[in-house]
Amino acid sequence: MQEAESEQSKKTTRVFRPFKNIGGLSGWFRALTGRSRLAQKSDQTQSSGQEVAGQVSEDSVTQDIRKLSDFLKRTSGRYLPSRERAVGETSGPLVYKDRNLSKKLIKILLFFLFLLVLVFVGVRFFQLVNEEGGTTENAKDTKTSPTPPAVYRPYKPSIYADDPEVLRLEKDINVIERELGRTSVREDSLLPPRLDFDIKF
Amino acid sequence: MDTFKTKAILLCLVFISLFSIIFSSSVSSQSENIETPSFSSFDEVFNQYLISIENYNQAYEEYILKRAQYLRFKTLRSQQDAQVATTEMLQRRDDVVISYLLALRARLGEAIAVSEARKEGLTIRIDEEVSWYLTHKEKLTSARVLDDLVSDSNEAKERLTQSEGLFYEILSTIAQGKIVRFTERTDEIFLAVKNKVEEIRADAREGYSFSPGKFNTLDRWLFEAQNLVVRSKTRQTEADDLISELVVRQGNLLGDYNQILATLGESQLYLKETSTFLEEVIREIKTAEE
Repeated sequence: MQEAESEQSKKTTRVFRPFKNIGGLSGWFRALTGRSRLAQKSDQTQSSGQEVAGQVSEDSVTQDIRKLSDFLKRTSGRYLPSRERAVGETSGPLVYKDRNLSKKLIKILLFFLFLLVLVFVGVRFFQLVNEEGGTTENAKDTKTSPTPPAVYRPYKPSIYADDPEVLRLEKDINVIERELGRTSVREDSLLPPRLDFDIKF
Repeated sequence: MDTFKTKAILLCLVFISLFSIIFSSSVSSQSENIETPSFSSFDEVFNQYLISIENYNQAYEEYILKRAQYLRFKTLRSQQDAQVATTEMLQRRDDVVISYLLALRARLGEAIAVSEARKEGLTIRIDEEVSWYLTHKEKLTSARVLDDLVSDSNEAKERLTQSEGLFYEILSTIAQGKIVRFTERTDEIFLAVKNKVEEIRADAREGYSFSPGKFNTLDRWLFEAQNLVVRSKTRQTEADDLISELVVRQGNLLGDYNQILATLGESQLYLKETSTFLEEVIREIKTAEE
């Protein structure tokens, strides 16, 4: 009777627990981030510490993540500024200390130089815009006077625009102008031939 | 009736004599002339000239070869070969000069704005030169030794020195004729434009005349155009003087010819500027005042 009841209770209380072996959902998350249960539970009592240590089983994913983080720490340790504590301090925030002061100084100088160039270009542009606005004070100082802009005059035909005689004259002028530009007075093909007249034996 | 017959007979005799005089003069002129067309097509004659140059080049190469062989071996055979090659080369050389003179003659025939008298004078001189070179060519076959050929060649060389002036004179005359024709046409157009401006000035109808300011502008441009034409004609006169000097000068005639062309080129530029001013006058006439 009791056996049947225990079996029935087992059947009724059987629940699907996938993260049972690794400490539940939180344990799974901790495993992903690479934090073991033993390191996490520092505030737990020692009585439960052994149980925690016994229960921690790192899976392959956790191991991979831990390896990657170790590798990154090893390689980036050369370039990232090392974290050091100030002298005399045992706790508190870690202070970053630059390895290469000269590199940082150069970067700062280049940045200021770039700012100066920007400022100069902006001021010059502003001055040019002001000059185009119509101020003539600067024009007096320059040696050459600026060329006045050409005024557009639309063509307005006179009463002689369609005069046949005027049109004929225009055509004759165009023809002779074209011929004068194209005609060459040279006759290169008729230059005297080069012959050898120095005969000796 | 008798008087009528007599008059008829006399009239016939007069016509026959006139006809015979005309016919005989044309026959005699043909017999004196060299067997060359008066003014053949320039292209045909120029092609003949190019062919003669090609023949001369071939004969010249053969002459060089035979001459080198003779100078090296000094045998009788090589001497004979050299003589034959030299004779051939000298004849081809004379052909080149003759065909060149004929090409110049044909080109002169087609030249514009060259007076007939000047053409005739130059043609006679060309014919004289052609006649000389034809005679010289026939004479070459009678040479017995190489030295004869050398002396014949030197004769031709001396003759060419005199002929060269004629060559450049003809070329300069042809070039001058082009500029003279341009000047004549420019003068005509200038006169027509000037007359048109005067016509507009004299027109009293409202809207058909221009303001005094506009007429001042037109007069100023016409004045400039006239000055340019005068400058162009001055350059032509200078070129004419240089051409006259070509006849008597010897030496670097190519340099003198280039100088003539440069002077004529300046004249051409002045004419071009004149046409630009006239074009502006016409544009101003066609544009209404504001």
